[in-house]
Amino acid sequence: MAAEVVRRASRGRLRLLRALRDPVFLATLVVLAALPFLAGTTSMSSLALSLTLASIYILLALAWDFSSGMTGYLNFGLPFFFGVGALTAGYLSWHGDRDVPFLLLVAFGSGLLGGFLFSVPTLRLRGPYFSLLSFLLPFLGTDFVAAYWVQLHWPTEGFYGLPFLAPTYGGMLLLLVIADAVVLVGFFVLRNSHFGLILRGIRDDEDALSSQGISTFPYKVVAFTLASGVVGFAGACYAMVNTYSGIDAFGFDFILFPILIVLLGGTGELVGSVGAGLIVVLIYEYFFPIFSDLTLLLFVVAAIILVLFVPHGIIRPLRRFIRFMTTEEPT
Amino acid sequence: MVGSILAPVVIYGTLFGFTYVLLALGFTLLLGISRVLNLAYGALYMVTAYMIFYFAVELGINLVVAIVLAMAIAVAVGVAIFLLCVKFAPDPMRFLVVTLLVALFLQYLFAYPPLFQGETGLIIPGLIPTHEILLYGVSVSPVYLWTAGVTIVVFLGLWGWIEWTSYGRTVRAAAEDPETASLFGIRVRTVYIVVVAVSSAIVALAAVLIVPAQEVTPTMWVEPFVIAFVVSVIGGLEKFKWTLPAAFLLSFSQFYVQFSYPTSSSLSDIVAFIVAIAFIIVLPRGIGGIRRGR
Amino acid sequence: MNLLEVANVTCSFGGNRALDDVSFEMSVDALAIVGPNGAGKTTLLNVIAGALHPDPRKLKGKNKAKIQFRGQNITRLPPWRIARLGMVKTYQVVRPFRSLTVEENLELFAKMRGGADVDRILAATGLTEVRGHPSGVLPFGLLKRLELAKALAASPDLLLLDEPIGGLSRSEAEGLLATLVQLKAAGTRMVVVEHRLGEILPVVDRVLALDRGRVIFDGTQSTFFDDPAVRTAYLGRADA
Repeated sequence: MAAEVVRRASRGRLRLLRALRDPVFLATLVVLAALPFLAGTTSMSSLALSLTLASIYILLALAWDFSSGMTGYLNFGLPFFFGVGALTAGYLSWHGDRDVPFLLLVAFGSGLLGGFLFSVPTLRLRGPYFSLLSFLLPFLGTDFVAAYWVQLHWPTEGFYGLPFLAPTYGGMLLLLVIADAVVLVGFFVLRNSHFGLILRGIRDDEDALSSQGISTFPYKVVAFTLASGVVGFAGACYAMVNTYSGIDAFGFDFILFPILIVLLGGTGELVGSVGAGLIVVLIYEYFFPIFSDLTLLLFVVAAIILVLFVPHGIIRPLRRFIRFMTTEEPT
Repeated sequence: MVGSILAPVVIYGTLFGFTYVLLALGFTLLLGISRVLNLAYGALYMVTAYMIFYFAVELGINLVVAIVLAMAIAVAVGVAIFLLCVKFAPDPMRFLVVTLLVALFLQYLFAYPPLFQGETGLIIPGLIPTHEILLYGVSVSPVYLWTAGVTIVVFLGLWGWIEWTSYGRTVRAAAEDPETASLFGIRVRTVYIVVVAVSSAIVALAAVLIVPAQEVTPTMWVEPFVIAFVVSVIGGLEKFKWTLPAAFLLSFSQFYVQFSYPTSSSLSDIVAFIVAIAFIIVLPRGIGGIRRGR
Repeated sequence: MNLLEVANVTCSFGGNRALDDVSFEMSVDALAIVGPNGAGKTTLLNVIAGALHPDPRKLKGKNKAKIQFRGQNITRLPPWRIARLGMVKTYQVVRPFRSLTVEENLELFAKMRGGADVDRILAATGLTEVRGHPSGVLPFGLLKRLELAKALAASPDLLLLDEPIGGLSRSEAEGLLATLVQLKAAGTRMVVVEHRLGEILPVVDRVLALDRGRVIFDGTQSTFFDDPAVRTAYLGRADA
């Protein structure tokens, strides 16, 4: 009996260890670690700013991939939790609370709470219907704020004067890169555990899972709650990089880009989001001065092409390529 | 207190209820028969409006011709999206993402400054005079009265088509059991296309009627979609007769809240969301068989 | 106490009576449910497993439909609850979790009801060699074995097998049937729906035959082939 337990536990650990040795995963960590050095630690270069923005989008993409990418329940409400995190930080700092770790923690908590409250009633619906409901969420955010600015005595243009995330831009980037790494590793470990197995099973065939005795609901709720927490945290980071928090945090950008990044990196793969995030944001920053308003349009077209024609992103071909290059067997 | 808001709530609730029915009809049709969840549904509404602006205002073409052209384009876009997804994205998840992206594409397209003056609201002409009239002391645009009438006609027409004609029977067969239907020689794909076309035409018609009393903006695709979806969720997606009570329930709730708790901006989306969630929790039966487990 | 008791189950689709007042008791180790095409065999299995409900009107009053598993009334329980109680059903059309490996397909369920030994199940069902393969690319014969293995991973007390050898060649079927015999000997009890009579009857202890939704035979295989109702059903039909 005890031997059974040990055998079962070590099976799980074996799988995890094998996963951690994945070359793409390790390479991604290395890339993340290199970013702060690339940007320099004190100068406010535009590269540092772009990378900072990229890191925030990477957080969003990781959260979206972990919840929606793995389960197949597409959550279009991401901007809502992002906005909630941003506004929470803005509101608190406007009331005098300027302790950055505290603001981040509260934003994370508000994301968790919001995610939980939303998930519980809606995850009972099938995937597509859940998605449509989640689509309504960001509008709730904007409507609520638009309706109650006055009553709540909030400043109409948004909260200004938030504390900086870190004293230097390089420091901000470092903090965000660390956040990226922590979230990546955390979600990666979960993905390769029994919990992650169930999430992937949900995507493949939720009916078969539930008819064979596994109640899928708690797993979905946990995944979405955690993801929403990360998104809230990211929202606060965004607000503290710009020292401004307003209604723009509920915008479509914060669902369009994460989806695009995850599509490019491979849905359900997690590690792909880092490389894809860097590529997407840097390309955007490069093209924007040239095409200005047209850039977003082109990115939407790119996303459509990706969804239709490259559904698995670049990760799987990349892995196959690496395996091909590193094995001796004839393929 | 109740007396003073009774008239506006009842009048607006009723008139907008009909509007909601019209918007939801196409969506329920799409969902119940083609089993398609289309986030770009509201985008067709927007396309119709912008096309009317382009043809009637920018090009100066005769209004009726402009309307016909605009509706034709909207139907074409709707069918094109459907065909594109059937070919390349047959699973519901990818279909959803694609339709969201298409809606965003259209939003950014219409917001692109050289095309339509960017984000500013535009006005399009309509077939119905928009000057508000007084009805029981409530100021109301005749547009909504006419829309209510048209809605009744469309609803009855659709019902008659589905229930009584032989093609309607074909449609129902294809909806209930596409595999068996195709064994009996029914070309299910063609039926789906017809349904998509009809549904697109209905939402385009809604735009033709209603938008003249409102503004044309790049984000106008959201509202019709939200309404259509929430009404469908409340009403249950199996039979579209339920969109009637559902639509009125929604509109009355929204106007009641709006007049009882006046705020600087509309809370209608929030009300819609709350009503939808309440129904999901309390009356999943109202959502027919789409609950997990079917 | 019988392992499984089914009483007065009627199930209709549209105007069709798929099951008409079906009743039986099971106390043996292995029961086969057989019958010509359209007899309602899979429907019966689905009703027992909770995937389908008996007609609502028949759930009240006397002669009400009732399904009992080890004395517990499971008639209106959802399928996952029934699975947790120890009764697991396989699918006639195989449903592997395509993006997961063979091993992972089993690991999904391996923590239920005290835990299962995945290695042992893989060995018992002959899947050890393909344990690391993604299940979506397996050949049909192996997918049938995987279907059985998945059910076993949930540590069931009673297996409901829906045409486990359907579509398999003679030799593939022999292999899988041998596995079933071993499982039976090791204590797993089973209800098997099959229409390949010659192959399944030697494996089971008792036979229940359905025709057009009705029970026409409930006994052992020694009297099965001579039973007049059975002969009529199989041979006396216009399309036999």
